Amino acid sequence: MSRRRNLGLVLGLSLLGVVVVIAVLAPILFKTGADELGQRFAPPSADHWLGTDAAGHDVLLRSLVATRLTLLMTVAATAIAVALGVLLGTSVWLMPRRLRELCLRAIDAMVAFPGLLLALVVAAVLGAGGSSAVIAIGVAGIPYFARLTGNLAAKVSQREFVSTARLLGVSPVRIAFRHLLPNMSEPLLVLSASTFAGTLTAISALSFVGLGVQSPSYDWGKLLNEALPSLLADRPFQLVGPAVLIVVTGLAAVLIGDGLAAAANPRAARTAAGGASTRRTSQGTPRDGYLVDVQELSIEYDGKQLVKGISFGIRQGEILGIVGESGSGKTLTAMALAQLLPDGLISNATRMTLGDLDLLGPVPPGLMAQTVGLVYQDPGSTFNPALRMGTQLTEVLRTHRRLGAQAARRRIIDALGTVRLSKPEQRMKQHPHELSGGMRQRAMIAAALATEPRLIIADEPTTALDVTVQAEILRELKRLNSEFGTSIMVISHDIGVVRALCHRVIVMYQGKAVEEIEAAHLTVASAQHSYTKALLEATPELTLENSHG
Amino acid sequence: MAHAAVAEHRSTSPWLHFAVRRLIGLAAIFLVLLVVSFLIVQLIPGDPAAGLAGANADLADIERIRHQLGLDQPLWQRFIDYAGGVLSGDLGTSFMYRQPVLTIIENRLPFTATIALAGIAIVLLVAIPLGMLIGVLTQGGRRKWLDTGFGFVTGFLDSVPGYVMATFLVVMFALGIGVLPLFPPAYTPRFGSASFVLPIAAIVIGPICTVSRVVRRETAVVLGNDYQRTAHGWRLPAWKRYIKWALPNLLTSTLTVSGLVLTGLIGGAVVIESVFALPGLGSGIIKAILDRDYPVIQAMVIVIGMIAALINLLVDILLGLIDERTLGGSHVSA
Amino acid sequence: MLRQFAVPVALVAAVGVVVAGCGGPASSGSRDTLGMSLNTDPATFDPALAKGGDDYTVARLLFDTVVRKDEGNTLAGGIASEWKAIDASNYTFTIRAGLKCSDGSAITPSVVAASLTRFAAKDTGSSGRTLATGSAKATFTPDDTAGTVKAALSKPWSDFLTGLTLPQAGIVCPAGLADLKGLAAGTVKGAFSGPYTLTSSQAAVSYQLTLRDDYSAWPTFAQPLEGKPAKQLNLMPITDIATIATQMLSGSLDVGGVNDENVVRFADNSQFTSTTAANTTTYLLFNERPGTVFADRPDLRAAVAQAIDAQAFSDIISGKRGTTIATVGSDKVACVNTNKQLLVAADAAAAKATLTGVKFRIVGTTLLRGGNEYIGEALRKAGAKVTVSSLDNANWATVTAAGGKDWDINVQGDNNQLGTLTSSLLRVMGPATENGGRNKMGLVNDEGYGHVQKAMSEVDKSAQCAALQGAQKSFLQRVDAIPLATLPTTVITASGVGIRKFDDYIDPATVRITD
Repeated sequence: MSRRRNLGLVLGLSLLGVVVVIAVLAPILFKTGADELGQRFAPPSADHWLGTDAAGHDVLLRSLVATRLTLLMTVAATAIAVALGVLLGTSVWLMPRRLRELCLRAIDAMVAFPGLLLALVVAAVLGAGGSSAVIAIGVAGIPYFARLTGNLAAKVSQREFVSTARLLGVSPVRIAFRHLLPNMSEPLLVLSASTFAGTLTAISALSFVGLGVQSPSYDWGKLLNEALPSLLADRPFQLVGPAVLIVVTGLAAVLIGDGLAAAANPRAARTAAGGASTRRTSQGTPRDGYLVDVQELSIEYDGKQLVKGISFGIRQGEILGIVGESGSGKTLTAMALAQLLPDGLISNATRMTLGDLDLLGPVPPGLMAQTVGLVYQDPGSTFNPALRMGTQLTEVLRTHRRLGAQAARRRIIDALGTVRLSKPEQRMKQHPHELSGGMRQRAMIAAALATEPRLIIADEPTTALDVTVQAEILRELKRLNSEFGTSIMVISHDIGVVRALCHRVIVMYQGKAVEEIEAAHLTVASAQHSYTKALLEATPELTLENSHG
Repeated sequence: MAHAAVAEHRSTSPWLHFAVRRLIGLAAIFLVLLVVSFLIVQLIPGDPAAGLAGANADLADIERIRHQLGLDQPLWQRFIDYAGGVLSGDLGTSFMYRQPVLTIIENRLPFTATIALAGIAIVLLVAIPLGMLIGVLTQGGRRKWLDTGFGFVTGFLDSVPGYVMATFLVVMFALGIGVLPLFPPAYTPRFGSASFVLPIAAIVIGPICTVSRVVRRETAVVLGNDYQRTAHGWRLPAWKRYIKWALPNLLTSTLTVSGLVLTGLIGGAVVIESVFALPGLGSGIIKAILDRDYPVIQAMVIVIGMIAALINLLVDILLGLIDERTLGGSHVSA
Repeated sequence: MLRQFAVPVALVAAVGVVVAGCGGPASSGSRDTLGMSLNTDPATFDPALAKGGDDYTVARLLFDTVVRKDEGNTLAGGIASEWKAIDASNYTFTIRAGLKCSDGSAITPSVVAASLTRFAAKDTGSSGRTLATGSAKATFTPDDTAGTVKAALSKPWSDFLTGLTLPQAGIVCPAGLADLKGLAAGTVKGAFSGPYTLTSSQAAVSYQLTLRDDYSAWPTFAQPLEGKPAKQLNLMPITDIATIATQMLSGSLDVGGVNDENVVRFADNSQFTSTTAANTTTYLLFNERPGTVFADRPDLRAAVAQAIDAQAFSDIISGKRGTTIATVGSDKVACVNTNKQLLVAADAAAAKATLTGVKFRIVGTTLLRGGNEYIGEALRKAGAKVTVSSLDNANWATVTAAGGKDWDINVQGDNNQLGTLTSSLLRVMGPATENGGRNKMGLVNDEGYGHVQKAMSEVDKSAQCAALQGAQKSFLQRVDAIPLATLPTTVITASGVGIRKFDDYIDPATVRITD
């Protein structure tokens, strides 16, 4: 995986390396040759590989010598844009609220104005020349960077450590340097790399209209500009040198930018569940009395065993808890059961069935959706932020039960009523962010219920919720279990939650089931395994007295 | 994270609030452009009167022209005249053409509007599906060759200077070297709308590469989100997961970036217009700068600035339609 | 305008291919409309105020002059059927009978005199005034019954008749003189005396000129024009020369100015005819105002000449189309010096000995950018410390006309529309620009200027030439200017379209459809 990221990055860095070497050496080695006046308009030959220009200069040598100036100018312009943009963007964020809003609006207005035209006007004011081109392009890039820095600063400054620092009276400047900038450095670096590519073409565009570097200096833009009349007039080769160097350098910057971005965003590395169907069948002997029967389930990734041969069963109407610290393999076990293992993970078992469904083999999605309901931990992100609740909740029914919009709506409103979500009709029209965490989790449970599944898998259903809301949700699950007799598998790291909710508990540790115990016996005294004992000792008692009332 | 209480407060029509706020914003941008456009032309070196007087003029001629143009008035007086004129819809008279600036802009605007609007539509219609497709195909580190190849090709096309790309298209598709001469090489009334094909092609290639790379990256991020896992858990079919679930979320971040790329597209038009002889605003502002045609520069700065602001507003409205939450603030600052 | 484009926006992607497929080169079928390129928009439609090449083009098409330039430095009849120089100060014109303005009113001697009086008035500010009348004041007296106009100059100026061929001297009909603002904007329908009227004008997009039905003042060239005039001319401003050439090749244009090495794209192509005229000349001109580097330093000026290769300069600025010259005018101008012996010979070593360490500033226009940079490079190789500024036309005109000490060498490009030497000679001698003259060099050079004044008082050609030769010898010996090269104008015409050239003047009003 990391090798893939690096391919682009490595290619980018090596291209840039070549260009930098040219920039360093060419002016030393070829300066005299590049200034010599030979035969004019000469075609490519052994003496002049890319021919000569109208004045008789060797085009190749001039293109190489121009590398240094071009790179320096591009770096300088990028530096102006980045440094002043970051300064502006950060300081805006440290201003009083009203002033900040005003400044952000002003930056908006500037960002909206096309950069190249801004640069043109600035260059016209400063007069033609290399340094004014650098300033013009740099200045034109400031608003963009100020805005991006503003955005990043907004995100970072909402984090706890910044608010804490503020409350402690740490000076704004110190906050900026100690907290804001270090946390923004990575995205800013990525953006700088791609800005570099843009700056390169922008500077050559200024040369195109004659506002760039002036004689006797020359950069790629100027050479390109000089070569333009000849492009169609039978001498296209004069353009080749500067054009190739511009493209190579731009490409290098783009590849480096993309490579850095990919490296900085590990989330993109391993994503959604594959749902790849396996072509195996369960072999082990079925065990009586269990709705779910899992035998010798092991899960491995990249040759490493994450779950090491776990066996368990869930009875009809039973709530089974799986408890363990993160990395113990409990979620993977549940996901394997739900056929939702992430890409690259390989599961093996002698038997994995749910009623008469063989979960080791392919199961039609519709049947699966109606057999297993899922409830996730709610970090506010289990629902699609862009869609209304109604649209999302009815989707399962419309897809798998082929219900019409109205019928699906009625069913979901009923289900929302069942999980005692207030004002279900209104909730359907709202977006997820308009609901509280507890409301969303009730809605999630309703969605899981709507298909009348035989098993609900709840993966850390209360972890992200307030303590009081936590209790309500647990009570709800318990009530549904007793009212509808649905089997539930609860995954949690919180032994208190499990003890309060479940009938039976499996304790997982390092990919193994170390203990299986009735919830009622889950006390320090009766637990067998030392890990279970340790867990219990660290957990306060949580009771759900009202749930049976 | 937002709470239910916030929801209640928001439901008092976010669109109305949005409209009021953005109208004030537009007015502010207009005022800024008005002042800046006036001041900046004062800084441009060179005397417009001398340019108009021509190579054979003597100093008395130049002085006479200065008077005709009102350049001998004090600065504040000129600003008041200018601002008053602009606010009453009179953008002044071009020094160069001796025509109302409004007429000149009306002549040029359709060309820029045509390539910019068609360009924006094409960029979005091509880049979003392309980027998504690549994002989906390469998710979870699959098809490394495709990922690398895509980055390489788009990076390459993105780095080709506008003039070279435009000329290449002319050589390939207009002069018939390599391919048939399909399209007219430059704007000419004789060929009408076909004249716009190559300029639009030339102007969209870069932005398509930029935007599709952004979409590709965003796709990876969006597909990694929990709600995609939810959709998976609900066993929704693939097209529903990508189109209905992922796309709207992709659009929020994509349009945010695209808004900027697209205003940049107007800037890129400067070079394209020159190659294809399109008499648009981009080449107009360069000519006006070279001519020191103050009223035209001022008007073009205002018009281009307002167009850019309107494009951004349009993007925000689109975002609002997709996801009402974004109405809270401009995408530029939110 | 906006509505007109709504459809293309929607259709461009889908229909574009189809439309283009139906298009194709415009040369097929009977045509009466021609497309013609301009470099940029005409700045004015008032002929008297015309200043750039494009202004002259439209002025020539819309307004006729009393006399026209013909081959071999001769004149042809225009609005006047006969013309006579009594001496260098007094002239008589016989106006053709039955000519009409575009509003149907008659072009009488009074109309002609009123228009010429305005052209020659200092307050009008015409760039052609000093070319046509020198520093003299001109009085025009019409005689409507005799059908004549008499012109009297306060001082002799034998370029007067040639001066009246300038497009700036185009006859503006009374309707135009009554509305000068409208005249400049091209909106006065009755102002035109030439073969065409301006029927539509969209700045930066196109200008549509339509042939008049009631026009009969076709000039009487020695060799008559062939073919028929186009019923309609569409003039399109296109800045990029490569684009003009591409447009010509694809059949989108019928007449195009291709003034750089892109002309090679038409070489060996029987579909196109190219017509070249060396109407622009280039030379280095020293600032010799007191206190400047080159003031009173003929040795230093000669050293600059020794360091420069005029052929290299020529190739660079014109893409190998031009030739070197031995004076400030091109070879076809009457009375030019062609004796290269009068020029300073190249001598790199001698130049280096004199120029090493000398500091000065070169200015020139962006039009000659490559040439300016070559001059700088050559002088740097000779050891001088040089800065080169290529300024846009406006800035360049301001800087070089203001006198002062801001520049030392000017790379001067003269568009010689008159086809006489005087206009360029007066750049290097006579009254300085800051004193209302044309001289950018700054010193009068009494000897040279004396020759010019003498030439302008002679009607006899050989006497005139002798004086002009003296003037040229004078500035060449003093090395006030270093002749460089011509910068030719090349006009490409598609097959079946013709245009005529008279000496070094390509007359846009001679565009004809010949097939």
